[in-house]
Amino acid sequence: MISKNLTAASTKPIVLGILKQGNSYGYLIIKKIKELSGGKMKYSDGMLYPVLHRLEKEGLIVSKWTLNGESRPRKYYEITSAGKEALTAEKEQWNQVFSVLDTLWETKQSTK
Amino acid sequence: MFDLENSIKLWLKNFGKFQAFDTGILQEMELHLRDHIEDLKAKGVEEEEAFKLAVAEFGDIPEVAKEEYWNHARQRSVLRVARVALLKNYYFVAIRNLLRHSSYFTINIAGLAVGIASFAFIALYVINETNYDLFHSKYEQIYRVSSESKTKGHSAAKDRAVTNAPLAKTMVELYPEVINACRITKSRPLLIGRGDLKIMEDEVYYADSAFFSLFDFELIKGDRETALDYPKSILLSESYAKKYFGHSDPIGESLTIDEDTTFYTVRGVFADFPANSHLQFDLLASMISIPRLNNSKWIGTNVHTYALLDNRADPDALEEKMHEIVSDYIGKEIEFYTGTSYEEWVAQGNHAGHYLRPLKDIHLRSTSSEEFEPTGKVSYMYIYGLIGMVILMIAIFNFVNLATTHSASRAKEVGVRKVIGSSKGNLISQFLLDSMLVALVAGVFALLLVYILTPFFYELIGKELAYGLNTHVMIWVGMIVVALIVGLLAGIYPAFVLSAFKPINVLKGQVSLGAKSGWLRNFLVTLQFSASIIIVIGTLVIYNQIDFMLSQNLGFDREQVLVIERPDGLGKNLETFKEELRRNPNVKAVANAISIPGKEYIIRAYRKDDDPHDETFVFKNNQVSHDHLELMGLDLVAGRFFSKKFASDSDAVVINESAAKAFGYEDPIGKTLNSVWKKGRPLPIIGIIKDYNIKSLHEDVEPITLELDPSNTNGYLNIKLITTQDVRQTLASIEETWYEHSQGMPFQYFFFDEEYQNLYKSEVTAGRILIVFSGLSIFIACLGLIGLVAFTATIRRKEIGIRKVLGASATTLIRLLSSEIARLILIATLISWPLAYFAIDYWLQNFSARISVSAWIYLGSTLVLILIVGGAISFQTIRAAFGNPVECLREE
Repeated sequence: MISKNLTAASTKPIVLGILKQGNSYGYLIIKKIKELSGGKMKYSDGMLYPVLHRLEKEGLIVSKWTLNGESRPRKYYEITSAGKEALTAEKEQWNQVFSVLDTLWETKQSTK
Repeated sequence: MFDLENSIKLWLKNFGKFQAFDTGILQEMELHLRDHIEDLKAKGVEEEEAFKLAVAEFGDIPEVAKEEYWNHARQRSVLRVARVALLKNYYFVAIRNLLRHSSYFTINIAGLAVGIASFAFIALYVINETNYDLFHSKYEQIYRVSSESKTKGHSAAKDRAVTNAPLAKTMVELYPEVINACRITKSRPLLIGRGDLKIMEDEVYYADSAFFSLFDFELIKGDRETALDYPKSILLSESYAKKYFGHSDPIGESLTIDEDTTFYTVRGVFADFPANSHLQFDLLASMISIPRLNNSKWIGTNVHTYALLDNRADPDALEEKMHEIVSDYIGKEIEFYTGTSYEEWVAQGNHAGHYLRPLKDIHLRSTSSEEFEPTGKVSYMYIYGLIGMVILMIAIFNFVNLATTHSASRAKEVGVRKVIGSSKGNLISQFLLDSMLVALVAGVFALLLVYILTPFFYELIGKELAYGLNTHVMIWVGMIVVALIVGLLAGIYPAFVLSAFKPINVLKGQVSLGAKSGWLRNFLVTLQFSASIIIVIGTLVIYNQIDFMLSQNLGFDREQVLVIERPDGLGKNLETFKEELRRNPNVKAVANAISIPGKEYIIRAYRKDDDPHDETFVFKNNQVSHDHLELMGLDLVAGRFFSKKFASDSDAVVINESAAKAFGYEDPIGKTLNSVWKKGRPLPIIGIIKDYNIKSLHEDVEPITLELDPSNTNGYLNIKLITTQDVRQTLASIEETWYEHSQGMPFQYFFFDEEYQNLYKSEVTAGRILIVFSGLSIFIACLGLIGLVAFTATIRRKEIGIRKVLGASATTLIRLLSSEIARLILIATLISWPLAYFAIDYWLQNFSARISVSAWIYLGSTLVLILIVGGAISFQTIRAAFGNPVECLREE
């Protein structure tokens, strides 16, 4: 199980990442995260929405109510170009963290 | 059975508690839950179970709310721009709304502007009155010594603003806590001259050299320390320096006072005293110039004494200690007046003493006679304050009523705004902005009104104020702030009502037009009516009481009496002058006396010749000439008045009924008195006159004695005129005669009735203020009512049209439209009569002679309200009732 803090920190890149693959709405996004993490990232669903709204206010994503033949209207979120830039920046940061951890753990093993 | 829809609704309600969620977010959440449940159901989970699982996975709502809240908070600081854009939109909507409903806003703004302006005037007046004499830096340490005494035979204690001349010096010598003391006294009218320029001035003030160390009045030229140190020094106010010396420097110049040979040197020019000073001088001379007041004689020397106390001193303790002054010093005076020793005098039930009146309390709380300036009454300040608030309230209520009634026309706007995502908070702030904008416009108009009407207001209150738009910038700011507060107060209720509209109902047209919050409207209108009735009753009573005091038979006649001041100018010519006037066909009688009612009276002590206990009676006394009775229109009850036929009348007295009662005589005629002044000669009582008031009706009738002294040129020469028609001509001929005999003394006169009115100055001012502002408050209330009725009539046009088509007569319709207001007037009457009764009762306690309030005043006030309201609404009602139904029905 992934810790709460780590979950919270990774929400932003994950959401942006999912939206980069295509527009989506709240319920689907959550479902996707759960699938991808194999249930290891445990969210309370509600907490996703403030994150979405915050990202929207920061201008990283935009939302639109649509009613395309489905039974219900959906609020679709779409990543903006600013969002894509932010995702790249996030990616870089995460990669740096990985590489630090990677190096640490590699060295540890080699000294053994 | 599990009800999914209901469960979802209940779950959503949890979000409603948090402000962070707006309609859009709620819908998003709801859809999320539904998607999740459907997914679960597709996997074969039972509906109820699916709901529970979805809710559980959704998590803790307060946590979510907290996160959302932070989003909002961030938005507030980061995305101000969006906010400003929204405000701009609100602003333009407000302006557009204002222009579109211009008649509605005219009524609203007019009412508010008049209300705020009235409130501002009253506030300025009350602030002025309650801030008297506070500009002196030592005002908290300065006290005015008043003297009080109670003598046998007088029902009321005497309370005078004056004390004996040596008191100031004695206080400083005896009591270390008295740092300094200053005496001030006022002269009779004096002739001031600079070369050939001679002007009769009403008074010259004299003060000790300590004057400028007690008071902070600004001395523009001259030395504060020494300006009043020398005899025959005089200081002028800035405006008087101009009056006498133009632009040349007056310092070192001289002025003559009264006689051509008495020169006073100008040693200073002081800035004109602020309007909120109870001391108002233009000519201030040094006290040391009057030898009579600068020896150690306590007898008959009356000055105003101001004492500066150490800031640790206890005034109560000082008052206590000052008892010894009475026994040690004033005892002698009492012995002089009464012929009995002080101890005996006290044993007879008499009493004399001093008390300290704080400087700041002189203007509003003085109870003493002989104050320098007419004082105000603190109780009036409460009444004015109340009226100011009531007027403002009435204006606010108008606003609330009109806005809620009017809300119907904005319902669609609310609906549309809500649908596109406005939150309740957004709408509330929009409507508040709306009403504050209106109030702001009203505030600007109010400022304009105050600015334009200030001179009229000064005329109304009979003086200028120390606080005004042109002296205090803060007043501008204050009025705008008041306007904004009014806008906020007035806007709150309509804002909540309007923003609570449900978009679905509004857009479907289901909001009952104008019927919303009927109870509140009725409540506010009832309050307005009640306030109006109370104000009308109060005004009628005050008006009647003043009228009663001014017109009541006071026991003497003051109509058509011309009073010449300073008859001493005539000197030996007094009798010739009087004789010549008597030959004037327009003169009915001429008499001189050293005092007249409303002015100060001297006192005399008498003993009864047949009294074994030698009891002393101290009464007010007047020295009069033979025609006094006829001229003053006094009623002789028994005996006779002074007559030229009896040479012995120079040693005789005429007394009034109260004096007879005080002496304890059933039949006083022929009884003899004696008095120190007449060197103990027997003074037979030759006549009794009916009691008459020598002061205002605030006080009871006092015992008084009259003695004959026709050649005394002090005091007043009274001329009773016959006709009113050519007063001007009569006056001119009297003036001509005067100058033939007065040896250059200017002709200084007043009309008795006008002068006497000054005794009721605070009542007359109060009466004027109340009449004007009660009129205004009713005007504002009516303005609101007209708006209200006009609007309901418009709303009910169709209803009225249908009723007419169905056969309702005009009378029925008028009754229909006015019955509700009639009911409100009835309720208001029931509320206001008892309240008015208590208020009036409280106010009338101020007078010893008061009117009995007839039931007609109460009925009249309601009648007045019915008439005014009827007039206000009749136009709209009648138009609605008589209109052609086709006009309003063919629209659809």
